[in-house]
Amino acid sequence: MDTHAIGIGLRQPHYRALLHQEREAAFDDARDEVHSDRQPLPDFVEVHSENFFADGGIALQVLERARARYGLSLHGVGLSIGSADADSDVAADRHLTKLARLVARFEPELVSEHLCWGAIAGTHFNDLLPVPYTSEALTRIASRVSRVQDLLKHRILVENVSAYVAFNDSAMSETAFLAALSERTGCGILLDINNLYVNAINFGFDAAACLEQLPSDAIGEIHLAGHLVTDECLIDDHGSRVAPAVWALYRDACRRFGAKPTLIEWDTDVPELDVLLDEAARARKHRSEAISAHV
Amino acid sequence: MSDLAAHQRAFAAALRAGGSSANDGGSRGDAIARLFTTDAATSARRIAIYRGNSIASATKALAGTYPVIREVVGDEFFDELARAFWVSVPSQTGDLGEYGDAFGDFLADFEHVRELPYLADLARLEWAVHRAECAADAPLFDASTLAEVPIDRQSSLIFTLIPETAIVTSIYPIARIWNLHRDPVSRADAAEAKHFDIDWTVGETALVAREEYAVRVVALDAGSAAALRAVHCGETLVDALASGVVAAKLADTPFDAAAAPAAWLSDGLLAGFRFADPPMENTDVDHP
Repeated sequence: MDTHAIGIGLRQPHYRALLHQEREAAFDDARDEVHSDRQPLPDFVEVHSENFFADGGIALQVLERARARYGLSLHGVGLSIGSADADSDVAADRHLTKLARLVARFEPELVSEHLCWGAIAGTHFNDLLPVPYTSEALTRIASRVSRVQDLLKHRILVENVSAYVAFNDSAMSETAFLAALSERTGCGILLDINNLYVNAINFGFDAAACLEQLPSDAIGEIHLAGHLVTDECLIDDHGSRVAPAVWALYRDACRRFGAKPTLIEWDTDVPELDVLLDEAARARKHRSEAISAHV
Repeated sequence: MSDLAAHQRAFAAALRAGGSSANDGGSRGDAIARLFTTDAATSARRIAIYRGNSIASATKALAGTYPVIREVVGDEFFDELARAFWVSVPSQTGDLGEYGDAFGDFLADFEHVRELPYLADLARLEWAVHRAECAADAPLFDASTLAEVPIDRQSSLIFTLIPETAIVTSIYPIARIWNLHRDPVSRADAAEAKHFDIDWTVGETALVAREEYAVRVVALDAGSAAALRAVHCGETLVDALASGVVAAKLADTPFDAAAAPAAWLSDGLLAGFRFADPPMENTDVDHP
């Protein structure tokens, strides 16, 4: 995928606007017209892989349409590469079979998952739960990532997650862990700037310093999203515009890593498409300003 | 057990512990305190955030699969049902499309919905609809191949139905209820009449089948229900139609056995056919 690509998460309320046949011509015009008041369409869209695990039906037709018009990123939320027991390995292999079918059919440019666990002893929490950043976890997760890449025959990107608890056992930062994971397995890194910021506030560390721990070559995609400020902590709810401090951190990342495919995620109270496209345009602007000021 | 697995078991226990009530898992505070950098009270509140996420994910999946149940009981009560179900039957899969097959059985035993006794069967019907929505796209059935079947082989003809076709039987009018909520035409009619016209004394056998990408639910007469169920079980067409005739006679309802196969064909229920006994010669008309 072009490193300058800007994408948005494809969610059901926008299927019609982004994919509907009758509006195709109008959108193509909008794409070409420099002075159009309509925001340009995204270069790529990202979907949650699990939403397309069905054997057939309308969902896969939607994805066919998306694939025909945009670059495609398959973003998994349920593989649980951090699970530590054999039960979960069996479940993960079933999951992988479905993911492999999807990857083979749609040939996405990007395939990603999270540095997290969700399942243990047969129960799946369907959430992105953090792992302690230990050498044991690194060994375990590296072997899972290698298996995933072997079965999918595709490099995957692994994303840093937002967290509300941190482990006493952790011996390194999440970013150092990701760098080591990438070095061991050849996987790429999906850097979620909002997650990094949320954790920096929740646990009191320097997010900008964490960027220094990441190898530029390994970063295959950047995520941006809004978070919720509560009395307890910051919560990564993907329910608002990107916060000013997160844009600032994104500019830091652009200066350090150069242009990387960047995606706007919005999952709670999904707004009109134009709001998402406006966020995407802002990302493009922040990045070009950050990079041009740098050189 | 590895340290990592021990961590995850403790974490999971804390997540599960507070699910059934407002209890935030405080009694497990000691184990949590050893695990996390935050103090026990803070950790318990943070765990509650994750528990809320987990329940929200499960609820969203159930709401997608059971839109009629949700409409019948209302959003707030549905959320409570989903939470109680999450406590009772946690997800076992990272693919939430697979979550919730036991929701009907759960509702059958759940005391707080006793005044809505049809809910369990309605949920079983919605699960069948969900399965049909996700079913493999059926290959186009070429009816002309049927015409080529020699007369002496017709008695061993076995039809296969399109993937995830289902037949759900209830002592309640579940097909009628489902259509009043989901079928645009039935819904519009009911809105115009300003009430749901339902005869609660009539039980229904509902056929669930995909038509291209939409799933339809129709109430079957006794003869069609028996015949289609027999086809579904892999019986020959001749035996299936005979079952239909008997069932129709018992129920004292009409059933036109001669016209039934053509009706199934035009309704798009048939995926192909095979024969009960091996072919006499090398005529490969088998359709998977």
